[in-house]
Amino acid sequence: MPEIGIGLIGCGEIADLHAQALQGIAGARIVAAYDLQPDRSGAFADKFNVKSAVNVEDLLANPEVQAVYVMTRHDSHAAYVLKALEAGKHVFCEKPLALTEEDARKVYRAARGSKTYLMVGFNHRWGPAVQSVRAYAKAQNTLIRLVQVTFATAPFLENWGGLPIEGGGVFPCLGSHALDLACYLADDEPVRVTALGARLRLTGPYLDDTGAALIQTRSGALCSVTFHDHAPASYVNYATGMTSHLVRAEVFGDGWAAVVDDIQKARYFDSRGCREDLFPGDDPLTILGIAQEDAHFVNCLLAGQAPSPDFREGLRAFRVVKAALDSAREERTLPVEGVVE
Amino acid sequence: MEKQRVGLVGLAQGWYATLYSRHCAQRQDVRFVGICDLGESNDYVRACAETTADEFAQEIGTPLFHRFEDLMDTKPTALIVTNESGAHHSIAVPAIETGVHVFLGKPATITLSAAEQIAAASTLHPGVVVLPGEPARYEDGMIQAQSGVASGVIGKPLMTHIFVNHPAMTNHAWEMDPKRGGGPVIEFGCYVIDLAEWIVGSPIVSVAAMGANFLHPQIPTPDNVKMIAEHANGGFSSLDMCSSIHWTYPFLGLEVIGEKGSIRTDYHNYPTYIQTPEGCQVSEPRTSAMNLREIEHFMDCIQGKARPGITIQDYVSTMQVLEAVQEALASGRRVPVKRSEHA
Repeated sequence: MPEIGIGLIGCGEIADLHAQALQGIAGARIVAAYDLQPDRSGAFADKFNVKSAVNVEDLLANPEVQAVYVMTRHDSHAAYVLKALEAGKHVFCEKPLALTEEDARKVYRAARGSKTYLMVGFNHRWGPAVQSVRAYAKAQNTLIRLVQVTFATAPFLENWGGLPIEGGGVFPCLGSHALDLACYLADDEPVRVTALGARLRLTGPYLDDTGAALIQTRSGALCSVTFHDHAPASYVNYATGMTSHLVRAEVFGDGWAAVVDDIQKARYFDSRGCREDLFPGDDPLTILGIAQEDAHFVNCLLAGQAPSPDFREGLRAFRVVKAALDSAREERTLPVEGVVE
Repeated sequence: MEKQRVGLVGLAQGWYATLYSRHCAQRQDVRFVGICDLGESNDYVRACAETTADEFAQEIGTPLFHRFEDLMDTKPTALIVTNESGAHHSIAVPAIETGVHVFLGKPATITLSAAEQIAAASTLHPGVVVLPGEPARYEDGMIQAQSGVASGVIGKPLMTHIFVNHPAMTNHAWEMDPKRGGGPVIEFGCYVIDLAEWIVGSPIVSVAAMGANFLHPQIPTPDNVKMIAEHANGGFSSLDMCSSIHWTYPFLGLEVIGEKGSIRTDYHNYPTYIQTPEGCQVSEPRTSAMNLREIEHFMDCIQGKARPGITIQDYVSTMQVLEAVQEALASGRRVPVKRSEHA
């Protein structure tokens, strides 16, 4: 059976989840891993029985590596993606694609001109309930009017994610998920955004830990999103008892509504009444959509097809986050720059 | 037992007018002294209330008047004011100045100026009960959320989401004219703003908003508004007012995430969840007769058995925020809420 050899750059918590997922995907084989911290790289290599690369060049020079996962701190995503594309590798880059417009444009141009594929990791798109709601919405074949996304996690921003250089604070860390998911569920391009940001728990040098935003899409749909890391220890998934991440998403079209509730439940309201679908299971890789997005990436590569979300959506997602950040600072609604081919 | 002499002014808010009046008229401690239709035609009243003023007066067993002054000649002690929302203050202010208790159908007013006029009259007549209608304050889930936050069990509220769904009012031209009825932004926006300030327990200091009209071309204002608001305590609220849903969908939704726990009510008639470090409390599913509770509360207040759970000053605060919302919709800017002495 054909295989895709995979190299991992960054061996933190998210890399561990992807590695677990990839181990369960037919046709995926993790070849090597690299981390700036050699001990972490070594421990990761031992755990997953792969080679520990001494540096990125070593990993990219490995002919068995056909695809690279970039799962480092946000400020280094673009540089690693560019190196991997230049080395002729397919790339999976965790969100956000970049922290600056300049870096995002560089990645966009490189990916557009590359013969290899780039996919951006927005795992919450792939959750079973989200996919079900999206499929239901598409099947209604009407305009989508309203979207609401609530995104809450346990406190974690008092770390590199909350710092200006490495992580960028709550907007790129959590807002990128929530804003992308709103646009994904609206199935439309964002054109305007207005946002609020605040530090409600953290203090300097950390950035905002709380965000809220409104988006208007090209077709006129209105989206609202909230994102923060204030979920207290008691704030758990009401259905499963797991700590919540995506808590709720509501989508309203002409004549119907669909709700993602506590990640694992979808509810549908229309002229026929209300019905509910449960997506039981306790595998976090499936609940969080990581297994599905990794399978999509690998299967696309095996089939020679472009995976999604691609570099265009990655640039768009970056620009929504950037516009939201600027809006919060300037206290006014701002346009979202489109992605023009 | 001395009976309260209750009168009804206006049938423009027909559902409220008939519901409140029918309920009051059944009470042993109420003598219904009259209904005033303010001279509106049968067609007008029927469009609003699905009856005529004459038929309704006969049903209640009370005289029908066409002029407010004639109803006031019957010496009412309390009035239910359900004329066009944009004219509530023209009834409420003289009634208060005459010492008559007033219940105002929601929305109590459609402008800040009108709310301030009523508040000013109320300040000068502190013995007169002025109760703005706000049915959601009498809904068990909202009450549990407010008391839960106020008790401190979830700590400081950091992020609140409130959703209100109510179809736009289109029975009569006045309801679709923002200058007479306020339009959906005021009509239902007052629900979300009041709930946010009441439940969070902290006034809104600034707001940004986006709106759109998806379903009602006959209404020249948005029928949907999404707002994000900053409270004085630093917390945020995400507030949704939706009046274009024409299929079955819950009326209210609420979640408050605090420093130590969270409160969530899964819409009207669903259980309320309160999660704290000690565990999760789940209430019984509920059916709250909100409108009957609020008119009962009005009766309790005028009989001295209770103090108003919502005041005209609260409503002035709501209107101050809604004025900021309208400015935010027009300007695309985050707008600070201007406060005045009456809030």
